[in-house]
Amino acid sequence: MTQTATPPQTLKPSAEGEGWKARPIKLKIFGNLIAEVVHKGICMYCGACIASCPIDILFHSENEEPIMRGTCAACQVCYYSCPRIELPVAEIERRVFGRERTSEETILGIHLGSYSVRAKDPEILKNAQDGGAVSALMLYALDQKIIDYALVSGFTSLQPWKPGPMVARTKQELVENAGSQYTPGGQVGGLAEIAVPNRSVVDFQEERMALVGLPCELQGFWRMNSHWIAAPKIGRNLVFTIGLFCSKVFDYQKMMVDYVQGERGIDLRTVTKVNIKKNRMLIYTGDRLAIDEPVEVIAHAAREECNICVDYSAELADIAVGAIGSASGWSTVLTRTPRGEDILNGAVDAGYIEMKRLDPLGKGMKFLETLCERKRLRDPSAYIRHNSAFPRPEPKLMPLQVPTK
Amino acid sequence: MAPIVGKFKAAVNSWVAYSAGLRHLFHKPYTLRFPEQRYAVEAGFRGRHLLHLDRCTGCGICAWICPEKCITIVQRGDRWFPQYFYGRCCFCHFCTDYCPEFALEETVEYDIAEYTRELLVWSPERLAKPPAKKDNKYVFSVNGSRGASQVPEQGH
Amino acid sequence: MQAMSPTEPGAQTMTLSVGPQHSGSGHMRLIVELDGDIIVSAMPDPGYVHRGIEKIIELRNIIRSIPVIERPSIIDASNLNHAWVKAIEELQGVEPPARGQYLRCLINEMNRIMSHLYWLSIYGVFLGHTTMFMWPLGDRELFIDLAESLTGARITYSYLVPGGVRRDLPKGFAEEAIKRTKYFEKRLDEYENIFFKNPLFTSRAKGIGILTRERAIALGSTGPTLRGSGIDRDLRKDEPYAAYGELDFKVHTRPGGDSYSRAMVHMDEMRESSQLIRQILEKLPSGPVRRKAPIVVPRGETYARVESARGECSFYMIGEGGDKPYRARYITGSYRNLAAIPEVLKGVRLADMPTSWWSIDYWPVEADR
Repeated sequence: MTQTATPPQTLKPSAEGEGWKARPIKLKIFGNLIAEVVHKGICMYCGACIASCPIDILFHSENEEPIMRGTCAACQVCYYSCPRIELPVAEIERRVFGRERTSEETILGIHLGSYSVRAKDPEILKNAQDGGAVSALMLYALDQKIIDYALVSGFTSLQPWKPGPMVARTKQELVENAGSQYTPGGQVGGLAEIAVPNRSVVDFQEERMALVGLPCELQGFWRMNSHWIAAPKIGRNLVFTIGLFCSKVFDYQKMMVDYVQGERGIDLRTVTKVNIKKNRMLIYTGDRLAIDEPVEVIAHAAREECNICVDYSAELADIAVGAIGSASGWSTVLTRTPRGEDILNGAVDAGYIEMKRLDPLGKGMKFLETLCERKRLRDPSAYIRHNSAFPRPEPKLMPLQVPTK
Repeated sequence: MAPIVGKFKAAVNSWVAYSAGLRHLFHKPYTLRFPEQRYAVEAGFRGRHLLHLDRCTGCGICAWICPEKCITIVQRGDRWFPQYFYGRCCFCHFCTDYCPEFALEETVEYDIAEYTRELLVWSPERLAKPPAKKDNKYVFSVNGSRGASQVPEQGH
Repeated sequence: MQAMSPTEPGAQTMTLSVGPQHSGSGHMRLIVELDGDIIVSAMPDPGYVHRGIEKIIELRNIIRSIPVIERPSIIDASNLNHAWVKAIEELQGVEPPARGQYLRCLINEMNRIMSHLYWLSIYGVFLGHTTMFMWPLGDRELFIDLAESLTGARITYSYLVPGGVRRDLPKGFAEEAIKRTKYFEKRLDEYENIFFKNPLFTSRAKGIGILTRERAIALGSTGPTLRGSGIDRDLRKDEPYAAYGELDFKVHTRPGGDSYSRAMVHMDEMRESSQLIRQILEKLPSGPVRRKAPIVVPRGETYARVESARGECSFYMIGEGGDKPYRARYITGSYRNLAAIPEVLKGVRLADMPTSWWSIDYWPVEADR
């Protein structure tokens, strides 16, 4: 996009302010985002645009797309926060990790260690998806006052089993919101919705937080924090991120409402756990396994927007967690940054989790790499770049202010 | 009897009132002689704005949200920057809050009076200059033997 | 001192315009009919400072209106601001976080003290007591300085926005505020000694400017004017908003109905606000201070009111879905007390006019908007 334009003839400096006037260049507005991303079928509802809007007029909607309530100020911030407009992977990796990935790290991304983890607290294990690693690590961080609250995925709306960003400050709230949901939740949007961040430059003590998200949501977060025009005021208080392994998510209406509740007749309010494992869909109500069917029955509900995503193992997180690669009842954890390593080791020392090293050449890790490669076969050309295509003057990005303990 | 008691009470109360005032007769006044003695304001004080030219994208949200419409976005080469008219600015700093890029900042500089209105129009370059340091700062304090006063900043 | 009635029927009265630029009237005109020295009737003539605020806010979006809303009574800015954001939040269905509500109460109480101190200083100078002019204005500096560290501005805060407040507490605020409120309460005792117990004041204010209970209710008075006639009505207690429902405070009334009672209600309220500030800082919960609220006024209408320093300040807002309200009717406490002015000034000597009239705490700018 170029910004060269002939200045208008009579641009006199005014003694009186004239306020905002339309400028003779084409600006990107929220409508561009709708036309180029949502209507093209590539919006994965990460929520980055919602969080980045500086005048707070973008919101989550029931259709899993962002909506605008109010008058757009044409600031271009939401447009350049969207990871599906452009994702310069090398630049973002330099910002997150300090370096680009080497050739050995092509498949799994930059990582420091691979482990199998299980929480020790039976309360967490009862509600957890696999090993309860996410909940246990968040609980450790909350107890040690590394963070003041965790932004997890829970049920916010009146519709049962529709996920959205939730704040968890206590163990009870973490346990309630434990477990995976397989429909999109717009996590990053919660950054600004839960608490509008401190917008002034004066340093007021802000509550520190941690974020749990899918790989696409973390791409949204880091895109928002890496682009010149996007929103550096968001996420200043983020201490660490936990990413989840993801191959794809399903459409809420088609999977949960139409199939599970409609065709199978199971009341969504009684569902306690949803799992998709070894190509089978498992739905539990209470302790009973209500549905155990091949995943092809909901293949029609798979979101096509996921067909352009190539990130399986949350390559931009501090800690990446998933089920693949470990035994049943355990979670695989990949630590990608020193901060992630510290938190994992701290949680082990403090007795929140038990941990086994995963052999990088072992069967579990090989299977994980196979799934990553399989997801790489999808086509990301719509948005992935090596370096940013947007020409810019000499910007100084806000330095990452990850607060220390 | 009652009128005499009333008059006596009035006399006592008068004496209380006079002594309450006379007690302050030998206190030093705490008027600051501006501009030699200046009042120190804290770091978040909403004075004039500081513009970071490298972070401004020219989006115009500051001009859009300004209650008094005193910001105009002017062109500098192929980039656009805000120009402020301080004759109308009410220093609410909504522009600072709503700027997405940290390009605007509050400064402690509040004495920006000029002799002509034209000089109150601050170009982006003038806004980008950091505020001049001034000393002789006094802060308000309620410590000390004589209650509230302005004390020099170092001794605070 | 008894109020006297005109001596001869059929006698001519003199009409005096205590005009808008007068050291005894503030910026409004009082048309006073005098029989000798006694006021037969007094008619206020408001409108000198009318600026059309209600029209201005129809043309600006809801955030840009905030500095305009505050200006009618800038010494009491946050209470007026609170009425505005309360109306908008009721239409939008947004509830600020708990810490934001407590901070709103904090700045409201600080504003109440600042407004009453300003009132007190002008009251002193109306009665010729120049010490009472200087002292409250000097002690206002205690709170202006605190508010400056909290919001960044000394008087023109623009601190409340729909969804919460703009900034959180700076470090060291709580200790400083507690020190200052304790010092301030000692100063209030000194005010009592030099002014409120002073026979020069009590002889001029006791029994002067009577507003009886029934007339106060019939004329629709509000705020300290109402409470000075013995009626226990305070919106913070009767319709709790923000965090007032969780705070413990007393509503002060005085039964006299004369200028002295109204003045003492102001003093009592200052003490109560000072205690409330300490209570708020003690009970302050943790959490965010602002929730996301769109720049939109949804369809609907609402009536929101708060207890400002001078009485009930209210907004009747009709929204139509855009970023500006379709109509926002703005009524302030002073405007409601306008009807009490002729009542209070009836039969009073001209020299006692400032005593009675200013004890209502009528702020002309707020009434005219």
